[in-house]
Amino acid sequence: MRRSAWARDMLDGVNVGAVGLMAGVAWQLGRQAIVDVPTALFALGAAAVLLRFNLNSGWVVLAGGALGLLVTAVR
Amino acid sequence: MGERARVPRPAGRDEPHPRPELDRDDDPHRSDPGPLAGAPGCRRLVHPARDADRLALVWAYVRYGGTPTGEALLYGIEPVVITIVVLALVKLGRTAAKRSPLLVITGLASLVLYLVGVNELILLLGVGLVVLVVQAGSRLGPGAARTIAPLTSAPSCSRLSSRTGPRSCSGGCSSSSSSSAPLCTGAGMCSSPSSGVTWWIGWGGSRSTSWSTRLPSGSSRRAGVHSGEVHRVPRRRDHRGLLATAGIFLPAFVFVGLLSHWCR
Repeated sequence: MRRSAWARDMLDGVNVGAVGLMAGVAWQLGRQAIVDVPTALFALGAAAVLLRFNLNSGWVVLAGGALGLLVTAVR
Repeated sequence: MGERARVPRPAGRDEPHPRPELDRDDDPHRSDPGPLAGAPGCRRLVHPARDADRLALVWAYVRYGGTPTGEALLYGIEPVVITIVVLALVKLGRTAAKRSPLLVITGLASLVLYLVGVNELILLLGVGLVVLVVQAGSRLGPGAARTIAPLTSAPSCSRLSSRTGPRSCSGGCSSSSSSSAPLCTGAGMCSSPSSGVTWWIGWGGSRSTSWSTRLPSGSSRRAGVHSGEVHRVPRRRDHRGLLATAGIFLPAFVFVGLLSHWCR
């Protein structure tokens, strides 16, 4: 299908529309997930670690879970 | 959409006050089940063997997500997962921005329309059609006439070295003197005296594809033709492609829409 200019344009549009939908869902879920200062710090820290060290996302998720347990226990 | 009830939290086992069941008539999210709800074909949309890992995570979420420990874990995991998704979206957005500003605009428009509440399927189809129409218009409009003529044209020199000042063509390349952007026809050299940049341009095996290769300064022969930048010169007529596009996308959207309606 990519060989046809029409299909290529349509696919480009659908792809970018899907990215927009994903951004909308991420925005909605983010508003539910980031509710206070610790969760905002988790998000910023995860972004910094992923951008700086290019770490595997699974380790960052595990670290987030551990930090969540820690913060909940301390409060 | 966007309410907390969209991804329902599992009820904790030690929840002191279980949430009251909504009366069916009072539930704002209630909708009548579709005619195929619960049908075997609908249930097969989730394949147990193929989706084992995700099913395990779903089971763990439902089983332990409502416990204090599960909630503490999710308290830390949720923002991290959102961050990962956002970073991935930024990468995708950058890729789209490099390809065409139009794609960025339509992506942002689809984001806004989704948040306003437009149906997702209609949104995807509409964005696809908008990009299709705009791109086709830019290909087939008056300004594109110079670059469309198949077989007899290669990309104009202005597309290859738009910032290098005056241009001249040599070899099999000819330029139209009335235009500030000479149209190079055939294969040959396209050089810019002011910058010393030389391009070798021509077309490949397909009529719809032309290529250009930037040569080292002072070079007079083509080198690495196939490693060069490839420009696509669209065909003048592509009715079969348009029909195939309409024949594939429209039924696909109708099918997915009906399936999601019937199987809900």
